[in-house]
Amino acid sequence: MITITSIKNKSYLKEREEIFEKLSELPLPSERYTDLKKIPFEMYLQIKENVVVKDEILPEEGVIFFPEFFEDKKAYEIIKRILKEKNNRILGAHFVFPTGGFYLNLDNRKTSYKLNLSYSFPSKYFFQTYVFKLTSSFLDLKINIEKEGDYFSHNLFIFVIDKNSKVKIEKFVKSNISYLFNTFFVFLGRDSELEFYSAYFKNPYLKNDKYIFIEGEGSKADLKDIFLTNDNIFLSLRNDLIFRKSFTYGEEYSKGILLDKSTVCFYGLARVDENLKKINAFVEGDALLLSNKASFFPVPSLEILSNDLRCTHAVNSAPLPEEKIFYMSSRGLKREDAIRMYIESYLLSNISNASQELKKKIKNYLNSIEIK
Amino acid sequence: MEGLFIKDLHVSVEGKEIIKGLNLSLEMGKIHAIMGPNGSGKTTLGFVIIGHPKYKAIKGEIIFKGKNILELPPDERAALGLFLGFQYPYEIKGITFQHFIWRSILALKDKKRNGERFPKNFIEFKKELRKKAEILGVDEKFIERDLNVGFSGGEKKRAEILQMLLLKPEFVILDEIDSGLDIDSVKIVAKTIESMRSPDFGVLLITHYQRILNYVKPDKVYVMYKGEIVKEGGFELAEEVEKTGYKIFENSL
Repeated sequence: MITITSIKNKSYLKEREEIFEKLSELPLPSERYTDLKKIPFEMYLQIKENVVVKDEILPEEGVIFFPEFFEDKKAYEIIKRILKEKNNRILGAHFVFPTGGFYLNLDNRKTSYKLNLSYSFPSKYFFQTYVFKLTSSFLDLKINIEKEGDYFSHNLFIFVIDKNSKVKIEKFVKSNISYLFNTFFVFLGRDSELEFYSAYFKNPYLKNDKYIFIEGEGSKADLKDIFLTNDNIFLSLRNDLIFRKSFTYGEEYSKGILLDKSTVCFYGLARVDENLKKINAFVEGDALLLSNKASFFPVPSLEILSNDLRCTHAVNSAPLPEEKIFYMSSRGLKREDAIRMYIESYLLSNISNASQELKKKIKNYLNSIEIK
Repeated sequence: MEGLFIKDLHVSVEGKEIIKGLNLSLEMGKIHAIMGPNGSGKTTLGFVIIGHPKYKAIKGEIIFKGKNILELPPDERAALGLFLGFQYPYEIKGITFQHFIWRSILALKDKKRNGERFPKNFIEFKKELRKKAEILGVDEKFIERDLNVGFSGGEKKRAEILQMLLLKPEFVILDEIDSGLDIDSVKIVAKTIESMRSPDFGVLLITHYQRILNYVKPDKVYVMYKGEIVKEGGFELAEEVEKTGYKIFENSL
């Protein structure tokens, strides 16, 4: 077990403190941003107005924060590519005023690492970047976000999973942060594997994007998301599987339950580049709507430029299956308990291979909520 | 006299009246059989007894243990000792058979029904489950599978009977329990039902055909046609129906 809070470059600390001061002068995130859907861009502009930054955001700016990372030529090239491909201002902000994070190079062959990551909150606006590079290694990563408060947070994760490496990620988000954004870029090398389980609860505004670049032959990616949203929660899930090599496998399955007036957007994409063969891709988004005021917007997409492959996509949304609840109640379970048991099984069946630790956390949360 | 008593029952589903003034006295200690063609209201009767929310009793009452149960939710009816073996049991992914039954037993224990007859803990429950699964010829792996998921038609029906044995009800309604079962399984199920005969246990078998009645001898047979009981008798009535079919009851209404 290794524990890392952050790797900081001392020369940057003073400058960072100044940035924190300026960030703290901004209005609270919840006061300033009433129109939730405009946040990402406006937020950036707001910060830009209040904090002196250069016109152009370049990866080199990150050197002051992640010297080890930018000495790694391959990882550096990837960062440049991300910024170029995505043209994403929020991502650029990470390299102008990062508030935390680390770079971890796990290249000890045949070694397993376990890492538990919980966030620190240095200011009300923060941008944290975590970079992992693996070569012939296994990483078991658990990410917990359970903080509450009026924060604006964007977390950028970059995984370079090189040949014969495996990463298992379990992410549990049960926070009450005003605005929470997570972006994952994962690059899978030859014969590498990614297993990624995510559970989202409670957060009022959460946007989670995963871009999985399947770049090595024989590599596999398996993404499973579950969510339960209530009140006025807005949740956006984007899972892009980008196939760039033959003989690869990618699956993504998001499944969840919507209560009250909550909204969930699911964007699932499988993109297969030209001249590839023996690709297996699967995209699915399922939701149970327990309120007629809840909204589920699923957008499953396939962009297929090759012929020799098997790609499927599906979307299902349905109300609570009253017949099944009746069946369960007829054996002695109160309606509320039957619904709770059904919800639990509906969600957990999507992450059956996840750890007991994650399942227990989910069960505890589900037991704590009110079922109407 | 104890039992399940139905008085002037009218039931509608989505605005359409399916059961029209039904009267039945189903005594404890006896096996009753209701026969009838498709659409006669047999399954509706099972659902309304156990409290399906879609099936509304617009008039009449159902008395069990001195209470009109029509106002009770399904779990309270189960707590009183009622059990419905479903014609089409539902599949529930993510809940194993044994986990579901154990949770149901805990719920029934909470409601103080048959507390002393239920196993004290999960280990005892597992022992009982294995023993009863063996009686029904159910594979042990089956009880660790998700509830009814991927079960064949016959397995689902045997799972319903296994649930019945474990939940120890006092009055059971078995809806088409023989459909989907091969002849050997019908015999096992019938033998199980017969073995439960006692003064404190009542059965209502709902069926289209005489087949299961060759192995479970009913004390009383009723013919239901277009939502009404048109004839009642002993086992010979089942034999008559088998020979003549249901059309002859058209003029009985």
